[in-house]
Amino acid sequence: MQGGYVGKLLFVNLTDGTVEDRPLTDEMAGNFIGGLSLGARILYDMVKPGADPLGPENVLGFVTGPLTATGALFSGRYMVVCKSPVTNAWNDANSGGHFGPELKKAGYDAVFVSGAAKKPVYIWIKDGKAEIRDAAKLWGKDSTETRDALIEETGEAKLRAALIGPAGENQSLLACVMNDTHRAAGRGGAGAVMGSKNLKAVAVCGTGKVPVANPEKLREINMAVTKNMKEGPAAGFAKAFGTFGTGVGTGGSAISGDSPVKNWGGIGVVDFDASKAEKLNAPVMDAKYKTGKYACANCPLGCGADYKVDGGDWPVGETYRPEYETMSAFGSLCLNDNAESIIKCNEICNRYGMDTISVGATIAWAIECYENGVITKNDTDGIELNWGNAKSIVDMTQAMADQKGFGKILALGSRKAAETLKKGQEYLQTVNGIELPMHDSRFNPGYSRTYQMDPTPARHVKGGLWPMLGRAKPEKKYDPTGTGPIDVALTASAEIMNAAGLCLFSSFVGVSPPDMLEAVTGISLSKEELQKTGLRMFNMRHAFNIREGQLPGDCVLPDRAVGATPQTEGPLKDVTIAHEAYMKNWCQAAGWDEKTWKPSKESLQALGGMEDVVKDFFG
Amino acid sequence: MEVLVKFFSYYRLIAGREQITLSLPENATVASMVNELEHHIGDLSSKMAQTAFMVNQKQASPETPLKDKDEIYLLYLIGGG
Repeated sequence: MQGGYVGKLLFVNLTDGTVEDRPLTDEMAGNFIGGLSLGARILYDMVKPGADPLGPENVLGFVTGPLTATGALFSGRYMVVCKSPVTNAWNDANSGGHFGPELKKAGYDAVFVSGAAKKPVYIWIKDGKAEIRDAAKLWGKDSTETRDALIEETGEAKLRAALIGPAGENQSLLACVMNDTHRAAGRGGAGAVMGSKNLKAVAVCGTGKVPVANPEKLREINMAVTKNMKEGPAAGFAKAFGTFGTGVGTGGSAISGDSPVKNWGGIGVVDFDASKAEKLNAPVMDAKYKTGKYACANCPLGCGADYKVDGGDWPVGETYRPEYETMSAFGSLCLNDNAESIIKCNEICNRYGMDTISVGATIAWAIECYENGVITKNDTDGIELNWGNAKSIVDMTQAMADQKGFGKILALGSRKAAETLKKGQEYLQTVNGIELPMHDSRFNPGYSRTYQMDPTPARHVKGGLWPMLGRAKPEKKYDPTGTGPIDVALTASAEIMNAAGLCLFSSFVGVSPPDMLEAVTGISLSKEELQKTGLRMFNMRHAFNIREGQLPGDCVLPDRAVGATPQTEGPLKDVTIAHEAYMKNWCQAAGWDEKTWKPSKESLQALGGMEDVVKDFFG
Repeated sequence: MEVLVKFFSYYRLIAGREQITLSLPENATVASMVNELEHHIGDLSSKMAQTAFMVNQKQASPETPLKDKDEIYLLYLIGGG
């Protein structure tokens, strides 16, 4: 390989305390690029089917992409991969910040952790040397305290760490892996896996450089992207998004039908109208709380912001602006228009290391159960879980963080909570146990296939038709005719983007992942080769699930998400989406059997690089 | 005809108000409403990729025809956030 990779993988076994370097082969890098799919390739070999996700046999990976730490714009992402304790199947979760680039500068493309330590430990990596260290003094600390303690202990002020807060230590199924105090690999319970290994942190620090095959071409690409953001077609988006972040349109999203309302059972213009929704817009909130701007590594947009709240009911002090998903999950989904309560919930989740989407959605589920008498004050330790009750929402978030009383049950996530309570299943808005994110598939039917069929269900950042359909003409939007080929192509291109280490929002300003990959790695792929590579990666992630006996057909979308009973008012009135047709179209275009939900032998053979998978499935 | 345009989220900041009444010719569409609106709140072309419309609380597109007294919502949406 000419560039883009350090060429070294770190394998740590916490049971026997071994640390081993292995080479990243050209074949593996070429076939699976990096990130989620490189992780899937390696975990397919390391994690046996049926393995306990919270047992030592699970493997937790921290995987960068070839663009990471090369200076390519928007390349600050990395992936955490493991078997999910929520779905008992494949999990990858993506985070920004600065951890990924620092890991690579420290000498590794990825770290894979197996086994479990007998007592709390952390992994320290500096300039190509890795060791396991005692973390007794770190255990119990929140994400910010842990980062600060690591800096004090190592004396490295510039270190970056992927770590867990108390939620991960307690193996809450909503626990994230956190980095940079407020960036989260949030979904699927990776923080619980890290906690099950007694692994508090992976701290990294390095001065290495990643080779770039064609630095001049990369510079030209970066300059073209920057120019497009300043004075080209992307200038409007860049100004709005760079100033106000993902929350620039939160209020309008609730009105339009894009944000789910009232645990997916409400209607924005009826239940959460402009008088409430508009309070949750970033432009409104920034005017009160914004103190600074935050950007991930190599990001010219900078969609994050520093906030400060000194007064009111929740004076959290210095904190961060909640993202759109967080504002919506604790906002319209719970009919809560109190912005400061959401800032507080966001701060709790960041500190304890919990997924804001699943925490907000689990509380919304609990509120609907409470409002309908399925659970009572006796269940909730006296907390009145009514729609829009900001104090109760904050109190319940804190109880989940502390894992006290009813909070300990909700910290399992809504599906496991319903199983534990033996009630409330009728109000679950989950796909294979994962709470749906904050883009309503009735507003954008492209999400339905993605939510159901991605190897990580219920994710809003995975590939599919949704970028095309959000603002499509209503008369065309809900027609699934002929969607298969473009849906498959968009799926494959999203795999490439994610595996390369790029941020999703790079696609909004004209970044071409193939061009950047060529400049950095020196490898030029045709359009056909790119689609083949993307589909190979998608199938590799799916192979992990299929071997576990889990198929997309098992990932059933909730009735509300498809409009099984259509809404009677508002922008989604009479909308029922043809989600089965989207699934069927995708299968036909990708060479999958639409009845068994499995890839055909021929389609896998055509993709190459998965000969062992073909043998496992077809003999 | 006259239509009422209501601004939401980012558009409320750009417009500096919550709503505006516009006079439009017969056979106007959402697209021609946008053209007229630009005379009042400035160029909108760079924002259209993130813009969604509703007419009388129903989903709409630039081609959607308008009639007298229609109420149009201008929304700024970002997918994947």
